[in-house]
Amino acid sequence: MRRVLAWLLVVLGVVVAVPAVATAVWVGTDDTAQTGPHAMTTPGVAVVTKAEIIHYVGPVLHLQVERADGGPVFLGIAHEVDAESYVGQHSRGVVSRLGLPWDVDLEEPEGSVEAVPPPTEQLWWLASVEGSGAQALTWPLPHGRYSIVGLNADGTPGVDLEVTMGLEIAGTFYTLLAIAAFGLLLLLVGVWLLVRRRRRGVTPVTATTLAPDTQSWAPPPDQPRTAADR
Amino acid sequence: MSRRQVLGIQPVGLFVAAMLALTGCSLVPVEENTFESALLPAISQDNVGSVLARVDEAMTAANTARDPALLAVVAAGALLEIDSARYAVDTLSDPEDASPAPPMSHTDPTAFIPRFADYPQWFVVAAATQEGGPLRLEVLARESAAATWLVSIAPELLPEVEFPVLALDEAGYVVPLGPADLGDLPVDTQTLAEQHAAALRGEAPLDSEPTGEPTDEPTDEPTDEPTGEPSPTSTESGPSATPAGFISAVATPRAATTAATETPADTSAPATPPSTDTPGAASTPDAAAVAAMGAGLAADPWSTARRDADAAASTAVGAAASVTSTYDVQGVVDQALRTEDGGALVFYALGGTRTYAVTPTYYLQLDATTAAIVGKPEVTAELTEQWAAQLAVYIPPDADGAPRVVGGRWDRVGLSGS
Repeated sequence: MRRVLAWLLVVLGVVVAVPAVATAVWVGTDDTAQTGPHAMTTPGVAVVTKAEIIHYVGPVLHLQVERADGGPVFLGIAHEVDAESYVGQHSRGVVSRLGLPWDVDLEEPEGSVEAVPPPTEQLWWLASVEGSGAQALTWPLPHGRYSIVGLNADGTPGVDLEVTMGLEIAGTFYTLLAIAAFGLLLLLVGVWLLVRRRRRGVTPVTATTLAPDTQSWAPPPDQPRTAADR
Repeated sequence: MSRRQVLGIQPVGLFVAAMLALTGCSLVPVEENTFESALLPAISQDNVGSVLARVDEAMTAANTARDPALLAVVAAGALLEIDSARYAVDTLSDPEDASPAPPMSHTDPTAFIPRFADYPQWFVVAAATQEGGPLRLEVLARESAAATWLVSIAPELLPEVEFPVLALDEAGYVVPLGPADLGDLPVDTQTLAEQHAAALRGEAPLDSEPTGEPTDEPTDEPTDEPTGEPSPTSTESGPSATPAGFISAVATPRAATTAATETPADTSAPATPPSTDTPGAASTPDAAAVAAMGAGLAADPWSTARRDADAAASTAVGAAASVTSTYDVQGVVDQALRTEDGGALVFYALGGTRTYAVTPTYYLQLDATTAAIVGKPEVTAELTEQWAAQLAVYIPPDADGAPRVVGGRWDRVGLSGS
């Protein structure tokens, strides 16, 4: 029973500690799990996320986008109603599912291929960045239905983006360290139990228990040593 | 190790695990998205200024160039139709643009912002658009998030009339009403507009009390209402607010036999009061009679001024012409705001046509400006004036109260003669 428990703790400790350490290394001391850059391309006017992909509230979203050709790019976050009204009638790439660290379903609903009015002229963006080169945006995820929209700064179709995404969750690094420590603790307890059991399960060898004739055994002098004896 | 000792490890481990799990949860502030979303304000207060600045810029350019295409960038509906027609009239009456339109500038705007679940969206702004000018009540709407805000109607607040207190929702935004929401009111906007047009034609009653509070004894004219004077709203909208002011000669008999009763007049000459058998008197609503008709629309200063203007037009031409004024509904704005008492503030546009049927042997001599518009200095058969009105009207919540005009603007949009 104790042996099973010990091995269980060892396995559990490894299972808990190793991923925790690996994740802690990935997240880093800035508490941000980052993935990318990943290419996101659509012949339409925008890459836009469905509101449903934002399952959790509390983390801070870090996004960085850059056009493949380095041209001016726009990245904005809007209420789903505004985003849908803005590009909903146009051909676009819709991110309908996002699995971490990066597993994306990109749908391509058909629509107009006309340019949309420049996003910089719209007043309803909750947060946005615009410019040439890499553009970074930080946004704490709130409750509600919001969409992330990336498009050419002039609203023209044909969007080719490199996207890097990070999720910052306060306290993640130290929490992972705590979990890793817990896993290590389990591991140590398991090892300790195994070692302790082994020590208790084998009878100590003492001089009194040895047979007298085995204490000073030596080959008879008249018996020649063979090669096997060496 | 005894069984108790072996089992003793489990509670300790479980305790440590639970502590760590709880610690982890408390350290990482993550919760599931409820996906609950509040209604969206049509616009933020911070962005109202930039929208109005764009409106000012576009309208100033359009007014300067008298170009409906430029105006269409920021205007739609009744306002676009009315101002476009006004541009055409102004181009004929003042081709050199001797009196250019002053630049537009919304001053100290107050925005009444509703919240919506989807598009189209709209909001209302009250602001003076010219220095010293009256407050305009503008409805700005857009069909989609990508569309620009368009001013659909812009009546001017009547300073003499109490503006209704608007209802606010739990978040402090005004409450929008769509056409379907007006069902609980005594009258919908379309019906009210038709009633108003009928009242101006003299076919429907007007309450005698300008403020909507009925009096037992109707008066011939509302108190403190100037009669025969240009209304504040019409002053800026046409070359002259006096209905017959553009007729430099009120009535000039061609035949010597009728000349004795008519005097060739200049613009300042008093008009001959019409007799009961003059053609004009027969077709113009009697203000006193209309005012005495009892409950209906409140006899507000704006409507009263229209009736008085029609009467004055008839008076001005005397026997020289028969004046007929008609009004119809030009457009109803879908947008309305709930008032605190459960009523509504609605908007609509009326069209007005005043026709001078010149009595045989008479002619109407026009001033230079009007002659330029009509294309001839005098009219011997018929002169037709077209007007357009933009109105904001308060509808009380119960049938006992009379709707009253709280804002209006009156623009001449056409003039033709033969």
